[in-house]
Amino acid sequence: MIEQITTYQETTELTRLAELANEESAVITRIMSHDVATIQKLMALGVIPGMAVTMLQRFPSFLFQVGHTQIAVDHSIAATVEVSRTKD
Amino acid sequence: MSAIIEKNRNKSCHQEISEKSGHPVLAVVGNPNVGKSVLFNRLTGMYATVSNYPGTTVEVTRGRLQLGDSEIEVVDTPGMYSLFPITEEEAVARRLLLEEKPRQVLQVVDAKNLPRMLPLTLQLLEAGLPVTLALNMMDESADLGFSFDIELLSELLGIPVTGTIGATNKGVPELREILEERMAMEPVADCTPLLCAGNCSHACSMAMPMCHTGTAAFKYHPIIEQAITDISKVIGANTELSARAIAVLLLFEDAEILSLINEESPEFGEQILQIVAATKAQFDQPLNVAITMDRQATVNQLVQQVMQAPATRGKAKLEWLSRLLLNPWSGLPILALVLYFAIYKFVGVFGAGFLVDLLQNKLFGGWINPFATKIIEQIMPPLWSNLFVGDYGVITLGITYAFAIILPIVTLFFFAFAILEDSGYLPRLAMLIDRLCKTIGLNGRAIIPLILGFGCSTMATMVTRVLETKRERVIATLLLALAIPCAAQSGVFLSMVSAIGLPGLAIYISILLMIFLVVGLLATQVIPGKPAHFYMEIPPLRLPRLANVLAKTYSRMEWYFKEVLPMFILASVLLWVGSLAWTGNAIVFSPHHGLFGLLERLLDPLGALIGLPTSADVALNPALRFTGGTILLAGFFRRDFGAAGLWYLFQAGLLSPTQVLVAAVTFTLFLPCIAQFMMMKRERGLWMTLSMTLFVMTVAFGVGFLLRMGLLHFGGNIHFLAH
Repeated sequence: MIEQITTYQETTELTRLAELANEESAVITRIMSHDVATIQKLMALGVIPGMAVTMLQRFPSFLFQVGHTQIAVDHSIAATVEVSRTKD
Repeated sequence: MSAIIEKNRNKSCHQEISEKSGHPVLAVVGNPNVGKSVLFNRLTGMYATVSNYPGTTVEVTRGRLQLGDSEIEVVDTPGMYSLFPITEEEAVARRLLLEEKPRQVLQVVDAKNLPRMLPLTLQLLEAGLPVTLALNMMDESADLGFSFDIELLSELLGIPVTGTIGATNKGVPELREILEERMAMEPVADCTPLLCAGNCSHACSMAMPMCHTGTAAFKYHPIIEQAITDISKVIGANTELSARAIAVLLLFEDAEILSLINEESPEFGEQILQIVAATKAQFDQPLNVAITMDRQATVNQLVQQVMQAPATRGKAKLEWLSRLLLNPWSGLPILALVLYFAIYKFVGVFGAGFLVDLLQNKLFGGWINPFATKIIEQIMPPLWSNLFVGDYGVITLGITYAFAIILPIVTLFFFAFAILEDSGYLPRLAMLIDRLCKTIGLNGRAIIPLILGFGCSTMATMVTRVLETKRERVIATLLLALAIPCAAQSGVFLSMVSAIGLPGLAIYISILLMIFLVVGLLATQVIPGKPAHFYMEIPPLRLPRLANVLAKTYSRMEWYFKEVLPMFILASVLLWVGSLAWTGNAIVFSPHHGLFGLLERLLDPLGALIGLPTSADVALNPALRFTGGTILLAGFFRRDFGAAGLWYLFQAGLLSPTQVLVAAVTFTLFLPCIAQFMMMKRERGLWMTLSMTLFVMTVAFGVGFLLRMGLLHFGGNIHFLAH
């Protein structure tokens, strides 16, 4: 189990949704919120660990796509979603 | 309440029949933005009743559907994402599912978003509800290049599945056929291969041979499955929802279900809490996340089998336009254009200008009112004829204002708003201005009530429910009461202010904007609570359908007129009653001498503060007809009614530019009409409403007074013409 995680980390990098550049894709790994309601609402919109996400726009708010759903969030939410992006 | 854990449920047929109507019930459920209401309208036709769910502010729509020989009651439940409720809407939707005991649940999903929609299907099936699935908006998914194996999906889920396009009625006749068949069946839980634990009934295993293989069975993580088994043992088998579904909800720490269990047996509640705590300890993430991930994994496998994605990823038809709207550099200029054409040109110039002139001056002024006046004055003594015609007449004042001034303006506004709503423009606007909203303690979501407030502040006050925190609802309610003119007001005031020239218009708009921002900023500092978060689904842009836009406009107009027309008539009647005076030997109609005259004189100082005619002025110049006090009193019944009084004075050329500007600013800021006051009381409570009202009045008259002093000091046309 531990070995697996190590290999995983070598090729990918954990960051926050808010750090993704325009048109950059990543995989959602975790919602770092303690608020059950926030977690539940994000999951209802498809923001679920394991799902792929693509950043579409960063200003004035964040716009990203999960599946075929586009979601707009503010920085406070975008910063709570942990994603893993493939290292160059 | 006990419906959730109702023991010893008797599955006889009459139990699935609505207590209210005596007809079997079909519940329509689904996420928001899946075209659920359009499909509901397709099934039930135009005749739907809307009512509040008891004890909540959530509206539930019901309609009737004729299927073969039987009439079905169809309940359109509020949008729900999952059986575990976060919002009040979701809680109501879940209660409806339990209390109405639907014989069939129609789940409407957005076909292209199937991976996000099917988790709810799994939950409904897991709960033991009989489900029919409509893959809606097949046109949008086809545009993106998706195709579906609907038969396979139906087989895997063990329920009927059909494709529909609510907007064009495609697939709806087929859906009706399926529903007719399903509604005629005994309501038993569907046998879903996915959920089959190998203990199906004989009939079920005959129908679903794969059920016993256990290969497709949907299971959670073994630790969670163990917890579900343990909890099921505690709560027993005879529950309204399946024990499995209840157990899962308890692992989500569902407060409503837990309190029901505690009511029944605190001991059970304690045992369950222990199981939940022990299970939680074994995961490094919240249980709701773990369970949702498991469910999603099953759904993803399912979707892989039934949904074929195009080789190259397609884009939604209007994606290019969507991006233009969302980019601030193009979005803000487009917003300006939308406001200019939809609000200023369409509602203002065409509605408040052309249509009002046509209706008020030509239809009512030129034809109806002279005709009514002639007839009524012939058949009644002056005392009574003044009730119907004349300055304060029900016909010449109340009905004329309601139909000739308010109706055209508000109808056009609701029409424009419905187009913006149905096109998907509003969520994009919400994203565009979220940052700005944050500075006044709101988030982008507030754009919906705030914009609606430009139509009818009363309706908008009700719509502040879409805001999630109490703090946001309070701030939005205050701003609606204070700085946002409703369509009837702005129609009248903008025409008046525009008539005195561009500087007047600029002053009017900048003062309102300034008050809006200053009060918002202050409220953010003063009102306690956490800052709002913003997240919103941005649905694809859609071409609004005229029939839907008209239906929405109509239902809002209906609501509006139920509120507005009685107020107008009541105001006319009260003005008449207040104008009756006792001469010593008879009651006569004599404005300014009766009770109303007294009130007018009492309000004179307030009117004088902002430079409006006083009783003394009217006595000198009877042509003035209305004092500031009259307008204040009338304005309290309906802000627009007061506005209409000013409009009369303005049209008759009896107000100076300074008076026009000061009055327009004061009355825009002034206390909401009585309907909005009642709505505020309903939504925010009496004390908050009273304190807001006091604040609004102080600001309105304070600003009006200061503006008048400023204008008088810095020149301009300042003379009060009556002197």
